[in-house]
Amino acid sequence: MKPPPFAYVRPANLDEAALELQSDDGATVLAGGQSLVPMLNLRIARPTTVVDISRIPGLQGIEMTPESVAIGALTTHSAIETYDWPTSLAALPVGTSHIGYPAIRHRGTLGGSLAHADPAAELPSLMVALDATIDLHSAGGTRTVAADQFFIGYYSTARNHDELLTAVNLPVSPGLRTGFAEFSRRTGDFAIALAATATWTEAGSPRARVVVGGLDVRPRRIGAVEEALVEGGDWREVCTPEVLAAFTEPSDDIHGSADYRLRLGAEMVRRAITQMEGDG
Amino acid sequence: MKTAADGTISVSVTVNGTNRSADVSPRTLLSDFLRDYLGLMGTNVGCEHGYCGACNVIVDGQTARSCLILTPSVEGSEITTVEGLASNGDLSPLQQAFQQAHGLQCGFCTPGFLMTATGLLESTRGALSDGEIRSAISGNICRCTGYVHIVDAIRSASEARSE
Repeated sequence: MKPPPFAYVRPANLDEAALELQSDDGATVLAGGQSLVPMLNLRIARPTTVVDISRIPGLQGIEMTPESVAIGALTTHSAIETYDWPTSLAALPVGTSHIGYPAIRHRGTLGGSLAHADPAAELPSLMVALDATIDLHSAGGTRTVAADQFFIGYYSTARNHDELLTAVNLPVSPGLRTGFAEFSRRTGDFAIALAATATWTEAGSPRARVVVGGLDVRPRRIGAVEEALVEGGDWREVCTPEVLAAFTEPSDDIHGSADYRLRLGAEMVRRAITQMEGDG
Repeated sequence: MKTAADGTISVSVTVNGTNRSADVSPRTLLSDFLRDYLGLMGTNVGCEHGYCGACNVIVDGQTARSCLILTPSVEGSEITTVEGLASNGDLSPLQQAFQQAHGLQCGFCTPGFLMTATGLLESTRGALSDGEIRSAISGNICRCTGYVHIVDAIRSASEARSE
């Protein structure tokens, strides 16, 4: 058996699951298992207890109203990929189609990907671009964190150990448009660079989010490109490796140099915005 | 109820139409359960961390990596392995297509490809394009064939069903 030994519990509801986490500092959460189980098999993760929340009712599904979308934490990537989204949210199915392979997307969950917080994963950057809020539940109560504040660093989020990620809410603001682009060497690999973008109006004022992933430790907003989109200037002029360097801290690794990542990041932003404007 | 790390948990699943039960350690992967407890050696174990696809099976109608599933978490599920494709000794149309198109050489990856392609054929209709097939099998690695004959086999099976 590849995984290390751990205790296993399958709580019937959220409150039971939260108590398990509260009472055991070494416990970890199992949802779809597509990040946790590889880490168990490689023995990178050595939890004392696996708290299997995959059967807890009420955490799955997509609910859409004219103003917002609520997505349950246990909603699978393939459910997001195949949902009948309006054009305004085109980045969601495009982005999720880049996650791993079909067999991974059938089981991997939105909440699992966000809580895992791989900096090169699609959903964290998408959630920041779409101005999502993330619902957390613990024995002490519930709270909501903006996606922009949720991702702190490599595999590190604002979620406390005893909190469960239960749902994500996305505002569907007037004029919303979204875009997504990604580059990886092989289909299904994590991105070397990706970009997720959105523009909308809020109280009559234009707003924009431009997010790159894969460049460094967490999704990064590129403020200069956001400003150019809001001001209606030529965003291509500020969509450069030099500008991205002011908003990110890329490093060299086996997949590419920091300089390569900046160039690729700028190109992904260009592609995402071009796709977004084409969908309007 | 919590199962201790050195304890066992009772698991009951339906595999290829037959109910199978066992007491397993919580850390038992579904791939190990199929092979070591049920003796179903068709599901091959390659990388054991989700890249190679050799261990793909169908769980509740959808393809999945059996090496990325803790057996207790699929309690009550319906699982199909490569042993469940043939009926009464007759190969499935997809298996026949693999044979006819020479879609395998060493055969190690073949069960995973067959399960992926079975899932693909069950979730689509009509003849499939090479693009659709290549996208669907992107998570299965073959080191012998160069994939061309595998794509040929799946395309041929998709064309045969639409005639």
